[in-house]
Amino acid sequence: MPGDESLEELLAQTALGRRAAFDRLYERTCAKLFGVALRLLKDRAEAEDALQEIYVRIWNRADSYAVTGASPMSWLIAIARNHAIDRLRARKPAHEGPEAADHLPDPAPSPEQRAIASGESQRLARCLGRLEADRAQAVRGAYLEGYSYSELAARHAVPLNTMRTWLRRSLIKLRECLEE
Amino acid sequence: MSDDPRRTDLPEDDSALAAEYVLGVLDAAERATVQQRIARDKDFARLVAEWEQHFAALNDGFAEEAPPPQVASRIGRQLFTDDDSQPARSPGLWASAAFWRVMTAAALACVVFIAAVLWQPTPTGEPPGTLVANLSSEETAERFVVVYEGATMRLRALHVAGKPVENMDFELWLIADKADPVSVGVIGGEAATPLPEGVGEPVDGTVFAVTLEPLGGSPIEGPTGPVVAEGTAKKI
Repeated sequence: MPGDESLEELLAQTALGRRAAFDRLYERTCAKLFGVALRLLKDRAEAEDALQEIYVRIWNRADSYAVTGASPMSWLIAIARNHAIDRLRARKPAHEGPEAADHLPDPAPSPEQRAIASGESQRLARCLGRLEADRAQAVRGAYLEGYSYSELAARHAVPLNTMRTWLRRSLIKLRECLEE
Repeated sequence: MSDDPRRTDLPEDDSALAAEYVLGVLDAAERATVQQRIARDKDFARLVAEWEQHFAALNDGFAEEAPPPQVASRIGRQLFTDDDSQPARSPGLWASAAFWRVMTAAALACVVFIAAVLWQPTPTGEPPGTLVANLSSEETAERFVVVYEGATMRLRALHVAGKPVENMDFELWLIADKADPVSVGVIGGEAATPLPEGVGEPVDGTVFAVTLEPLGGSPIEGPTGPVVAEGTAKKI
């Protein structure tokens, strides 16, 4: 019954080449994925182009969904984020660098932190909480805003290699905590 | 690139690299390298998937925003031909996870029947010969399904029941008319792959077997490990 299917079912039907299922999948998920593209790309026209390519990828790759074991929404968001970040990185050559090592304020840590409520979210929040505040902020900024290493280095006013080293160390710590 | 400063700061850590990729902090060239690795290294791909799961907890931070309606029509134009019922890509049933889920859910005895029902011959010319083999063993819980599409000479093998074995690979063998087993490759990728060179085309009655082998497959020409499942290909 249209409207009643789970996203898993819609993806499975999409993998079989059923356009109606794909259309319903689009209806149900496009606002979230457009939100992802818009937040990362910060440009409406480009986010629209990106959204088109994201759904073309979803159509072509729906058959690989089952093997990932992710929830359908996080699988779709991963495709959207990956594509948007590929666009961001293609847009700005790394050597161009951020304008100045200004201490630009990071976005208020509000929406994502407010949303963090249960289970997996709590675990990640707890583990991010064990990192130094600026490092946790760098992780969130990279995930939600699409900051590259060089942008993070500029924001936190540290040399690029320092940023690489401490973010990597933070990620290793984060993994240890998540595995506890 | 031994002068890459990153290499000297910290020991290589695949998990941290996977996390950097998922976070998106790498530059374009590094991302391209990682993407190639994801495609060929399933252990690394698993690390990436794990980090995607961990960070998915932050996904609530992305606010929803309705895209303008023309995006949907642009997607429709790009993917579908004028005839709405004909998708631009061939769905490739044998390459579809949904197809495999149906296969797994069904009693395996019905596999050939289901495949026959789901199989839609290409609209032009003769329907391509398609073979399905259902591989199992009374001694193990491992089950595999192999589908070979004659029209494209591509084969797909999927592990549908049982468990991966750590630090080992399952390798698929083709045994033509009591000849020695010929390796078709290690089972792992999701994609249908062309039949390797030197492997004769399977026919109705060809036997497929799966053995447990060291990572990357048997180091010698023939199998070295135990047979965990076997079955005979049937034309559908």
